[in-house]
Amino acid sequence: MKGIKSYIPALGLLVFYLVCIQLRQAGYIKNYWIQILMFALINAMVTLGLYLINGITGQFSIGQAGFVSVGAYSSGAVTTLLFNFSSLSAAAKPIVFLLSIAVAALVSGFCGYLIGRPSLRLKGDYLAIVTLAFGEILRAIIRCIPQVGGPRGFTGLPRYSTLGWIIVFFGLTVWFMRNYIHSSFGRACVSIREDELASETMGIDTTKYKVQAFVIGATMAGVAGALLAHVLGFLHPDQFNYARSTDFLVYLYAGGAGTMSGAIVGACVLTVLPEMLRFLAGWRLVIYGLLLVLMMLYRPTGICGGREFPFLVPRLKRSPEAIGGRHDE
Amino acid sequence: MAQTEQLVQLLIYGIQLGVIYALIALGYTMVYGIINLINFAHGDFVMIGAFTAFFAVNLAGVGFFPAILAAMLFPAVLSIIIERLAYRPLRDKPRLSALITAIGVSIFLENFPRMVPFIGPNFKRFPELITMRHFYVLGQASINSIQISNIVASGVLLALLIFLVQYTKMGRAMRAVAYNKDAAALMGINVNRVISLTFFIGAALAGAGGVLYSLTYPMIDVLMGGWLGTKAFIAAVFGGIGSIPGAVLGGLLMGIIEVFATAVYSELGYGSGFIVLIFVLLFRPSGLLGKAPLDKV
Amino acid sequence: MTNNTTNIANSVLNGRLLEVEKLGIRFGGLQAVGEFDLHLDAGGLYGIIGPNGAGKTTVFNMLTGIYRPTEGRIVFKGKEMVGEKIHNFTAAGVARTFQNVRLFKNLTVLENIEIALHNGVEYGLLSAFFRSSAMRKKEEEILDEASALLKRLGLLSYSEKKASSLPYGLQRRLEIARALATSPTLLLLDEPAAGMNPQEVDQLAQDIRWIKEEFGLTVLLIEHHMALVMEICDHITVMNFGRTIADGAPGEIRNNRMVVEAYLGKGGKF
Repeated sequence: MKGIKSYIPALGLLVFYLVCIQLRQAGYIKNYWIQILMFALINAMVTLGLYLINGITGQFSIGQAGFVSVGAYSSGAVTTLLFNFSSLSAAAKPIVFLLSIAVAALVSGFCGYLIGRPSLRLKGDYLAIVTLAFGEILRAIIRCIPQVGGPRGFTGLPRYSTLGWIIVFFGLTVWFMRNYIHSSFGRACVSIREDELASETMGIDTTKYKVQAFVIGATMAGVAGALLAHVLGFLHPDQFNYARSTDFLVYLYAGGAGTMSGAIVGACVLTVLPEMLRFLAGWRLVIYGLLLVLMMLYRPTGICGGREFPFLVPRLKRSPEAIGGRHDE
Repeated sequence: MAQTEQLVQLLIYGIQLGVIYALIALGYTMVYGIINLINFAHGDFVMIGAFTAFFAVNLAGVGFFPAILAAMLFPAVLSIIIERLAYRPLRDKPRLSALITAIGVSIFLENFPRMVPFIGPNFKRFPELITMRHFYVLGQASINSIQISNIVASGVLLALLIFLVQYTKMGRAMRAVAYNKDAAALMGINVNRVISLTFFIGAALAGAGGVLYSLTYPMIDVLMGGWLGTKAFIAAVFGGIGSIPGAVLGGLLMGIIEVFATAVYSELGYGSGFIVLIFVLLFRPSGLLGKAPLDKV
Repeated sequence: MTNNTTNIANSVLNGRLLEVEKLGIRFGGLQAVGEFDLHLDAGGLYGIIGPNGAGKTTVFNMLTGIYRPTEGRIVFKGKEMVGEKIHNFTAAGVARTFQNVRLFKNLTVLENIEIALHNGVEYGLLSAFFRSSAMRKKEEEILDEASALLKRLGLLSYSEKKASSLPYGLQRRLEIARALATSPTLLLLDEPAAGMNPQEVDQLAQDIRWIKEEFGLTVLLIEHHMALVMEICDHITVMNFGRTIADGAPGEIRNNRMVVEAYLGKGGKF
């Protein structure tokens, strides 16, 4: 029973992918909307990483765009500077692409460690500022590296990310995140959020788990950045400024910071919504700002209202003996 | 220019920029001190102040003093309204709700003026309110009339603020609320009024900062508040958020560091303040003059 | 669960379970605790009493690594513990409750216990990401172990309830259960009777004795409730102004003039 049930979400994603592709080929949806969908899923990945840090572990990071930029630029460096992607054979392309994603994951994870290790002893808002400052410093550093275009931007990246790739990585991110949260490690992170001192007295090395959550969140942002780089084909340091970081924060809290579903739905809705409001031209951001305020006032638990999709909660069976009394003596 | 002269010259620039950061940082620090909210929309009052002065001068033809007064009053009143409508209902909710709301307010404040026909998204030239004159202080190093008025105006505003906070009944109420809101309420202090006043003062100082900034760099647009606000915010944290002397010290240091770093390498200017901030926080986790929070077991 | 006989065997090997010598801590210029000695043998039930502000909780905070003492030694099971992190104290076998109940309030009763079982987890990060079968098996074991512990303490029927929704007495009980889940040898209880009515205190006295025997523990408690301390403790240390003013069996303490004075002033009587 368990075998089949656990594949339903994966099958769902596959069906979703096939439907999107068919609809595009039949001309019902434009490439433009496929691209918006790709952005939505990439944003959802970044937001999930942020959810682990802010929602689960209770830290307060607002520099998530920094890790996206690390992933984007490092993967771009692999495909464009290290290899000449367009001259590769069709068989080598996916390998190099995956390699660039792996590099992005490693580099951004490492950056996460570098910034997290010393700064996670800071509390609340101070941590927020360090993460924000870190993102801005990265931006300043990128501006100083001429190989990746410096302040002019990094051009000529292969536009190799397709909806298929993105759905695969999105699915993996969701699955890994769900599994992590519902493990002993995830519980350790939650306990830090609830009461750091009590958590420590339960024998949990809180520093270790704060750094771990931070590194995993950064890695996810990095992978998403790698995918993004190869959707856009062009990167500019200003795409990853602190305003972009606050976007992810908004996705998370507007969706509902209490659940993974909130992170995913928040990112998707708020990526798509401004596009749907595009007919309003410049007014759309005015309305977006107002909607955000109104939502926080009238629905503070976010779009998802603290509910979780059932397939995001793995179930364990409690053995009857535990309750029955065998353990009593 | 000789080296000392050059240093003095840079220092003057740094202080000029620093006092503006300090004025804006004060609003962040006061609001944070009183309701623990990072008011992301605070920077936008800088822009609103600058535009208020712009219209006061261009439409009513007023001079420096009425212009700066208007630039302080309008954002201040606006901030009270915003606090009342958007932040107050969330005061007992998780802190992040108010923060996200502040981001929403900021998005609104930056984009609404863009859509208003007489403001729009383009840069506007800020009128010249103070005649530019140079005074030599040391060899080739000079200070100009705008720099002097920036420093003097900031100094006067700061003195007023300190007087208000330290020596008036309202100031005492503010300190009491910042220390313990519930206890202050039990002592008969009208907490809502104190919070409104804090927003009022913070936004007024930001508005003044906007005018002083525009005198120096006379191209203004609707987004100017965003990044000016970020830097001032960093300055507030640098000095120790919640601390008024900290905000002033942080602002000044931030301005000076930025000017010197830019002089060394132009691309360095932007990131420098942040790097210094990180180092300060690693060694003094509550900023230069901030107090460490107590965790009672 | 910890095994009664091995605990006692361990401590016999190393002599005393806990040796605290000349422990002291200063906050700025203030000497909060000084020259504090404590010797605990395995299996005993000890109490620390003293007026408010005497430094009792400060001693607990030093014994669990929350404060780092500025003077003195803490030797637990023959190992010097000063300077260790809090979680290492727990791993070594020291567990505690807090004066003001620090549960993970928004989590369920079961989750509170599962978190405390963290140190028994052997699977790695990769197993967690892939939810391997070994990981699932271990998680099922944790669930069973947590349920079994809740059952032993009569909390099983609340396992899916939010911790904060329990009545106060049960919250205190849950906090003890959570401490027990870390498999301690030494259990520190910070004012376990605070806020309880007389019936609840009677029940608590029985519970503490039962838990001590059932889990093979040594118990050290801080308490204001004099009757409780006198009833259950084998040995009592009395503190005032950060110092030990008396030390001995309940009968001796009751008749100690300095203790009576500290509590009731000169001329007072229990």
